Amino acid sequence: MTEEFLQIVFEGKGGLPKVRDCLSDYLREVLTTASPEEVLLLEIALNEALNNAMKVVTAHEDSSAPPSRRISVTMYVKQGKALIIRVKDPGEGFPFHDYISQADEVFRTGELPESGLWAESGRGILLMRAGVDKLTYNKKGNVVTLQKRLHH
Amino acid sequence: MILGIRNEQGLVVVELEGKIYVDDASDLREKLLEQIKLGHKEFLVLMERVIYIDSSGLGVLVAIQKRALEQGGRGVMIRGLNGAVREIFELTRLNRVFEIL
Repeated sequence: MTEEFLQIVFEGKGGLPKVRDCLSDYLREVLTTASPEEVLLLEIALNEALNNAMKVVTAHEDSSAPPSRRISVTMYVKQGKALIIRVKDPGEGFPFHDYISQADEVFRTGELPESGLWAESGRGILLMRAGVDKLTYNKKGNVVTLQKRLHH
Repeated sequence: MILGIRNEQGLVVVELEGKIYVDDASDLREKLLEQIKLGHKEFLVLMERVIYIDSSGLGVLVAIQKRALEQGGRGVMIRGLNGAVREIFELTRLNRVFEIL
C-alpha cells in the first residue's frame, strides 16, 4: 500500500494564495473513491481551516519573528481508512468548544439559531463540520484536525 | 473577484465572479460599506459567475444585509446561486437571511 503524506509549512502573509491550489489538487488526487459532493465539502472544510489560520497570522502582521506568521498543513491517509488533515496556526488558540458544540447541534437538529444565522463571523466551523466525519482541536486550540473516512 | 459595483437609481448592483476568498472579502467589505455610508440600502448581488465563496465572503454579505435592513431598506438580494455556492448558502442557512432570486 502506498503511503499518502504531504506537509507544507508556509509564510501565512502572502503565502496562502500561492499554496491553496496545490493543496486542493493534492486533496482531489487522494480522494479517488469519494463522490464529487464529498470532495467539494472537504475542499470547503480545508479552505475554512486555512482561513482561520490566516486570521491569526493577520493579527501577527507586525511581528518581526517569521515563525509567528507560519501556517503548517499536514495531510495523510491513515491505514488506508481515513484522510487526516491537520492545520496548525501560530496563535495561542481560541475557545473552540462552544463553536464545535454549536456546529454539532446544527447537525443534530438541522436548525441554526438566529444569533448564529445573523453573525458576521463564525461560519467557518460550521462549514468545516459539514465536510468531515470528525472535527477536533488540540487542547490549546491552534491545531485543527479534520478526519474523513475513505470508502473502498 | 469583484467585477464591478454600479448604481442603478438607488439600487447597488454588485457583480462578482470566480472564487471569493478572505483576501477579496475585505476588499468587498470596504467597498460595500462605502455604499451603505452613502445611504444606499438596496443591493443586488450577481453570483452567476461565482464558483466559490467562503465564510469571510458570506460574513461581508451578512454585515451589509444587517446595515441595509437597519436603515429600513429592502436589503440584499442574491441572484444566480448555482453549484457549490448554492450548497454553501444552504449549509449555512443563509437562504433565510437574504432575498434569493
